[in-house]
Amino acid sequence: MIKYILRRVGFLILTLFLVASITFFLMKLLPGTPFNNPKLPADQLAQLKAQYGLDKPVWQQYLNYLWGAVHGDFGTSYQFTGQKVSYLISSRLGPSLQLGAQAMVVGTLLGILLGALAAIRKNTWVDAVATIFAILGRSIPNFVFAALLQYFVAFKWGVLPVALWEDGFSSSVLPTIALAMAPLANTARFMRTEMVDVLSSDYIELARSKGDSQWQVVARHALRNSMIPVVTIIGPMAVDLMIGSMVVENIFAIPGIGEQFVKSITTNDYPVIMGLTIMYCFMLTVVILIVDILYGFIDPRIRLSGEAN
Amino acid sequence: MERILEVKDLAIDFATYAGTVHAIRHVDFHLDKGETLAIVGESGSGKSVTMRTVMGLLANNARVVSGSVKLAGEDILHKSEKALNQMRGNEVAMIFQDPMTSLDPTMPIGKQVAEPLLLHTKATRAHAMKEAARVLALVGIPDAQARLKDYPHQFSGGQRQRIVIAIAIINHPKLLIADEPTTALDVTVQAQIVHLLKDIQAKLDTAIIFITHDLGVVAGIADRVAVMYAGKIIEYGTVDEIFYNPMHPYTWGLLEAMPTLSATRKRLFAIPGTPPDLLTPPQGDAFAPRNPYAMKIDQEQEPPFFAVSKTHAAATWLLHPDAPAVDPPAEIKRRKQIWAQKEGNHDYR
Repeated sequence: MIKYILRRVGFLILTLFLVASITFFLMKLLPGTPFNNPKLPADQLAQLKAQYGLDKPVWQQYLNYLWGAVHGDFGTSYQFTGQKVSYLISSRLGPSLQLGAQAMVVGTLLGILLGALAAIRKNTWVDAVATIFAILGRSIPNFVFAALLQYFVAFKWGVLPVALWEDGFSSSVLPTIALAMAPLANTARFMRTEMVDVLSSDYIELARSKGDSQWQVVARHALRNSMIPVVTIIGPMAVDLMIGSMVVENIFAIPGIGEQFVKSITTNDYPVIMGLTIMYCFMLTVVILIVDILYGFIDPRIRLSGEAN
Repeated sequence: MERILEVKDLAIDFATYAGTVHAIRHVDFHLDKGETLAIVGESGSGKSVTMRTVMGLLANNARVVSGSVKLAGEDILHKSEKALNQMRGNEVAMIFQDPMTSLDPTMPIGKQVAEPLLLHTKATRAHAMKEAARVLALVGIPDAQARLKDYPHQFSGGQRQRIVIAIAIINHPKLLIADEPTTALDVTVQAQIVHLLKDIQAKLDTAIIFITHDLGVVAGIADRVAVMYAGKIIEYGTVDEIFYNPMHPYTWGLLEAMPTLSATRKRLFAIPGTPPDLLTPPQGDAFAPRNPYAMKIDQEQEPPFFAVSKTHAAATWLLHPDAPAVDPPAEIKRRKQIWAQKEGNHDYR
């Protein structure tokens, strides 16, 4: 197990390096410069470029960046003069992480519940309602949900704050719901399909022949076995959430990392783009690692070992 | 003899998109304490549906058209779901065909074996686990106590079937239904499992219904045999009667299709044709289209049971007093000769 995790961490570092390198060169292909004020005199522009090391050849900039990154220095922002990238990210990471985690937990748990209900009551109205709900949740983009929730729940009924991040938990409720719709719908579809399969399997019939009632069978045998493929989609769903949060954070004017990411790209704020990309990549690979470890706990047939397959 | 199971005039339909399938068409049989009844027949003959009815585990689209099923005197067709849950795994238990898929892959086997005990008795968890280890040892799992926490994938196919048997017998059921328990196993392992079932029967005095399409296995375990075809029992009798004095041409076909050491034929015999479509069961004898001995009346009228002995009867017009004498296949003649020698004075047709 420990050998397995160590090996995976090695791959994680390699992935981060590759992503950082690719992003660095792609970023250099972006049109424009960070300092595109037309009123800026040529000598000052040159001075700015020299200050940030942008006058050097690209390969040198690349090596400089890597050297800094290895030592924990991700540079300073061009837009927010003098602000360290690491500080910019860490000061804004909180709301995003909270939203992402809440949406993930709410989405997968409700999705598992909804999918299981649909499977148990297959071909009844329960199944139909759950299916419609899942299709809507999957096909309607989260910014539509965000706008609808804002308009009805917050503006018309005045139950929860319309936007901003000033009322603690209650500020997070509406964006969490908007974000959770997609993972909820995804999980529900996967759960239903798998559970229908599991419920018709031999070991469920054997459990019934032991005297388990319909609900005991579900709780003791069907749920856990149906959750195996659901674990698989947690990784991709985490990506969806990271991307989705950029838009939703914008709509609710939440000072999160997503909003920052969009802003940094439109202003060619190289160090911030780099820092955020590496951070997203890091979170994603960690999520995938956690998912793989989770597999072993849910399904005893998957044994984690250090050997390459 | 204590009567464990009494099935009378059982008829079951299935509603499908194509129409109503008459899966079981008026079946009668019974079983006494400690007895083994083998139900033989090809796929789709209604063996498993009959047994699922006894377990109260019929699919939602099934409908009991007529008949009664009495387990130890109690009618189970009209029991509530709750009463059925109390019955299953306690009074009647089932062993399934494929041990590779009939255990929960994500639950340790100790827990799975102990489950019926926890469901039906007031046993504590600790006691149930101890009991599980004892029963696992009884069915021949070596070092059972140490293996309680192991998962099904850590056992071989034969061992898994032993575990399934342990689950079935932990509550000492009156009736054990084995639905083709040896079909998915190697021949050597088959013999071990049959031996184990007989052993358990001797120890617990359980009645066993053994569903199979393998006549070879039947000879080794059963006291009596019922042959099913197209949703009906068409012949029943003691093992010797079915094996050495069969009367129904379908039973002849089954026995002929069984490989024997004395076989002279180069190719193994197969009954020609396929079973009838039970959406529209044929008017006369369902086996008539595949039966080389079929007469005109077979096409028109369903044969009733004709008694051969107190324990033996077959539903074929060939047994009618007016029927012409027919010449059975060579293999059946050979068997009937053995029967005649055994019985001494028995007439053989």
